[in-house]
Amino acid sequence: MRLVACLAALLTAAPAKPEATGALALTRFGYGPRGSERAAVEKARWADVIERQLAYERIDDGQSDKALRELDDLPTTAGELIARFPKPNMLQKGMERMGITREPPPDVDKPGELIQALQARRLVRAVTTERQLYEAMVELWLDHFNVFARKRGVMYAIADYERIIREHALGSFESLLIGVAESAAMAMYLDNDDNVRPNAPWPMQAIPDEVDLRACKYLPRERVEKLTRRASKNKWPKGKEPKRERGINENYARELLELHTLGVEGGYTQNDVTEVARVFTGWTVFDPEGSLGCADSGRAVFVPELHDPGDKVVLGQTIASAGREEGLQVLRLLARHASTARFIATKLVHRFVADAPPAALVDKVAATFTTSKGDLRAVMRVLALDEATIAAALQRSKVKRPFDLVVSSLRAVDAQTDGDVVTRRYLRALNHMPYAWQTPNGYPDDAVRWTNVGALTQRLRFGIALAGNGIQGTRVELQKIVGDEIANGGKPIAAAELVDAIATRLLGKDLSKSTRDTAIAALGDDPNAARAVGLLLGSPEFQHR
Amino acid sequence: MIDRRTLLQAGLCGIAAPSLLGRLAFAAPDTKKVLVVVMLRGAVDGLSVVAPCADDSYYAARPTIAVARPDDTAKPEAERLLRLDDRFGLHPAMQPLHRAFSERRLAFVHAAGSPAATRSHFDAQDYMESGTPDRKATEDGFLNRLLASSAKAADTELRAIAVTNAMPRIMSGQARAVVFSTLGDLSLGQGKGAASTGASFEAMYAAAVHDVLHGPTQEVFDVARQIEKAGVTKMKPENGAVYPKDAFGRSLSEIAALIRANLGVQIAFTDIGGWDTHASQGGATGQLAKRLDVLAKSLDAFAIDLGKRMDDVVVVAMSEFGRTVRENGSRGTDHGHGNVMLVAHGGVRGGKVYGTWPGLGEGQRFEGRDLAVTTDFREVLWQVAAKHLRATNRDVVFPGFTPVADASALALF
Repeated sequence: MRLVACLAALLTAAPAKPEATGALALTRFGYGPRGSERAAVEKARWADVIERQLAYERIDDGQSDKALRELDDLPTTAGELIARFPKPNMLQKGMERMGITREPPPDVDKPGELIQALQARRLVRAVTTERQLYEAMVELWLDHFNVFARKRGVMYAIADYERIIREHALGSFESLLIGVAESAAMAMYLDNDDNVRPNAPWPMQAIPDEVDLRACKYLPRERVEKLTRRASKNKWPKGKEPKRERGINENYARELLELHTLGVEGGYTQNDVTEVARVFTGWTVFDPEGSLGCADSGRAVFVPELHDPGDKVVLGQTIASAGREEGLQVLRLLARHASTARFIATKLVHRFVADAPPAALVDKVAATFTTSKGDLRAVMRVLALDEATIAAALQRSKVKRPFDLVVSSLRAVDAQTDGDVVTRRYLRALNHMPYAWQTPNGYPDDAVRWTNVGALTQRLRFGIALAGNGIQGTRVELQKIVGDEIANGGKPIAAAELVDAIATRLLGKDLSKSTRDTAIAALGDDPNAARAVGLLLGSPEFQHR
Repeated sequence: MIDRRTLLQAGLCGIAAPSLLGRLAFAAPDTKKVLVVVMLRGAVDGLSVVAPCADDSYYAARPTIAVARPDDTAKPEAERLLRLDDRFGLHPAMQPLHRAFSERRLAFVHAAGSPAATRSHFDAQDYMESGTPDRKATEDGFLNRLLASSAKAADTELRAIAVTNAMPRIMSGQARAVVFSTLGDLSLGQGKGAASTGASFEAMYAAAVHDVLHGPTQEVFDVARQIEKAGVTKMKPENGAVYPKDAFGRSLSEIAALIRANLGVQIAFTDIGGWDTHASQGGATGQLAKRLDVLAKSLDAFAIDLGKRMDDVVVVAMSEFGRTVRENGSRGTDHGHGNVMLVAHGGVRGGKVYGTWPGLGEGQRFEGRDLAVTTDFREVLWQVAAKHLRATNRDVVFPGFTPVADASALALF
C-alpha cells in the first residue's frame, strides 16, 4: 500500500520549482526565444529581459528589417498599390481607359495578393524581430483597433495603418488614438469617410473628369478642399444628380466609445454616440471613384464643407463648434477618461496575464495609465514586473493563440520562412490570419475560443508539417538542432536522448515527464528527428505561454 | 404526444432522485429530433427581410433602400417584395424560401428581439447567446444548458456541433460540444503515419491531466474516428441539393451530412456574417440582397438535402438586433432594436408572420428611432425547446424568463 502511494507521489510530483527566467518573459511578452538562443535567455533574469525589451528603440533590428526588405517590393503609396492590385471593377475600368475591350481574366484576385503580402510581412516580422515585446504590443493594438482588409479600400491603406500603430505601440495612448482616428484605414473600415453633415455636397462624384487614378495618390489636402468647395457650388450634369441626401453615419462614433476607449459599460448613452458622430463629420478619405479607397498617404482628410457645425455635448461636456479641433478635443477627453484607463488596463492584463484578469492588478495598471497620462511604456513596465504577472507566467496560465503558436514554433526551430504558405494555408486553417477578422472587436483572447476540436487538430498538423519540412517557402534545418549525422539518420540515437536534445531548444525545463515518456515511446526503436520535433511542437507544454 | 416510456422515465426519475428532475430538460430523449440554430452576426436589417409594405412610414423613412410593394407594377417583378400576407412582403432575394412559406413549413416572427436596449453588437450577441439579457455574469450559452440538462440520446460526442471558426458563446459550457470550421479540420492527414502520430498525441494529451487542454483534446480523437468511420467527409448532398459556394453553404452542407450519417446530432449551430450594412445597403439588389441570396439558397439547399428528414428538424435563424427604421446618410442603416426571426420545418405551423406589429410611426418606435420589440426572442426559442425537443425545465435554459400568459397568438407548433 505504502509502495503504491509512494509511486503515485513520484508520478504526480511537480517538477522542481521553476524560475521566472528571461526565456519565460519572452514567451509571455513575445513569441518565445529562438531555439538556438534558449539556453542563453534561460540564464537571464525576467526583469532584465523586460527592461531591455521595453527600451525597444535601443535594440538593433537590422536583421529583421533586412528580412522584410527581401520579402516583397510593395509600393509605398496607396495610389501605386491600387494601380498594381486593382479590384476586378477597377481592372475593367483601367482596361477600358487603355482601349482594351476584352473581359478581364476571370478569377484574378489582385487585392488578395496584396493582402497575402501584408499578412506574410506581419508573420515574418514577428518571427525575425528582436523587439519581441514591442511586436506583441503591435499585435495587441491591431486587435484593439481592428480593421478588416477586405472592406472596401482598406487593403490599400493597411501598410500606412500599420506604420501608425507601430509609431505609438509603446508610446502615448492619446497619440495612438488620434493616429487611428486620422487613418484612412479606420475611416473606411468604420464608414466615417461617409459621415457628413446632413445635405452635404458630393465632392467625389462631382469631379471625375479631372482626377484619375494616377493623380489622386499625391493630391494635397488643400486641393481636396478646393474641389469640395467647388462641388458645392457646381451644378450637376444632367442625369448625374445625386439620388439621395447625405448625412450622419454613427458607426465609427459608436465603436470609438465602445471598443477603442470607454468600453461598453464606460458610461455613455445613445445621445453621446450621435453627438460624437456629429463631431467627426467631415473626417473623410479622398476617394474620387466611390469605393476605390484612394487614400492620400493613408491619412484621412478633414473637409470643412462636410462638417456639421454647431456645439455638441459629449459625456456632459460642451464641445464648442470648432471644426476639426472638436474631434481632437473629444479624442483627448476620451483618452484621459477613467473608464478608458480601466478598459485598456483590463485588456492588457487579459492579454498578458490571465483570461480572468485579477482585479487588484487591473486597478494597479489602470492607476498607472491615469497618472502617466497613458504612457504605454510606463503602463507595461508596471504590468510586466508585477508579482502577480510573474506568478501567472510560472503557471503558464495562457494558451497561445494560433498566430503565437505558429510564430513561436518557427522561432523555436530557427526556421527560415517567407511567410507565404504558413499564412495562406496554416493560419487560414487556424482562423487567425492578420487583417482577416471582420468585426471591430478584433480576434478573441480567451483560450476557450481557440481550443475547439477542429482548431486543436490543426495545431498538431502545423507542427508536423513544419518539422517535416512540408511547408513550401519555410525551411527547418534539423541538423542544426540535433547534429548532421542524426538528422540524416546516419547515426543511431536513443529515443530518450533525441527527445531531450530537442526539448532543450523547444521547451527547456517545461518538458513534463509524461510528455517525455509518451514522446519516447512514440519514437520507438527507430527514432526520427523530424517526428520528434513535430511531437514536441504539438505537446501540451508548447501550447502554453 | 407523450408515450409510455416517457411517463415511465419521468416517473422513475421523480421517485429515485427528485432533485435530478430539475436538471432534466428533455422528458424523453428522442434521437431523431434536431434543432439547427443560425446566428446572423452583425444585425440583419429585418425590415428589409420581411418588409412592412402596408406601412407607409416604411417607405417614408427609407427613400432609397425600401423594396417595392408586391403590387407595385412600376417596378419589374424581380425587384418587388414577395407577398407574405396583407401586411408583409419577403425580400426578393429570399425567393428560394418563399415556397416553404407558401407550403406552411416556414414562419417568421416579427418585432422580435431582446429586452436589452444595448446597441452594441457584442453585448447583444452575448445576451442572446447566453439567453440572459442584461446579465453579463452568465457563463454558459443557452444551447449548452439545453444540452447539459438533457438526457443523452446516444453514446456520441457529436450531440452538439458548431460549425464555426471558434467556440461560440451559445454553445459553451459544461456539456461537450464539438466545434470545427470545416470537417476537413478534424483530420491529422491521410495514411498510416498520420494515424500513428494521432495515437501518440492522444497518449500525450491523455497523460496531461492537469492541462486545460486535456478535456478538449480527448474529444478530438474520438470525434475524428467517428466521422471517419461514418464516411461523412465523402458524403454528397442528396435530392439534387446545390449549396452556394460560400462558407455558410458549406457549413450547412456539413451539418446535413452529419445528420444524415446518424451520429446522434441533436443541436447544431452555425453563423453567417456580413449584415452590418451601415453604408450602401442596397434595396432589391445590392449588398444586403447578395447576403440574403446566400442565406436563402443555403437554407433551401439544406431542406432539399435532408428531404423527408426535415420533419424532425427545426431551423431557427436570428440576429442580435435590427437596424434603424430611417436610412442613414450613407444609404445604409445604423444599429437598431427589434428584428425578425425565422422558424421553419419540423412541426412548425408555417405560412404566417407571427408577432404583434408595433408600427413604424415616429411615436411607435423604440427610443424614437427603432422597431420596438413586442416578442422576447426567448419566447420563440422556448417554444422550440419545449415543443420540438420536449424540454421541460425553463428555469435552467432561460433563468428568470417568464413567457407571456396567453401564448395563443404565438403558437408556432
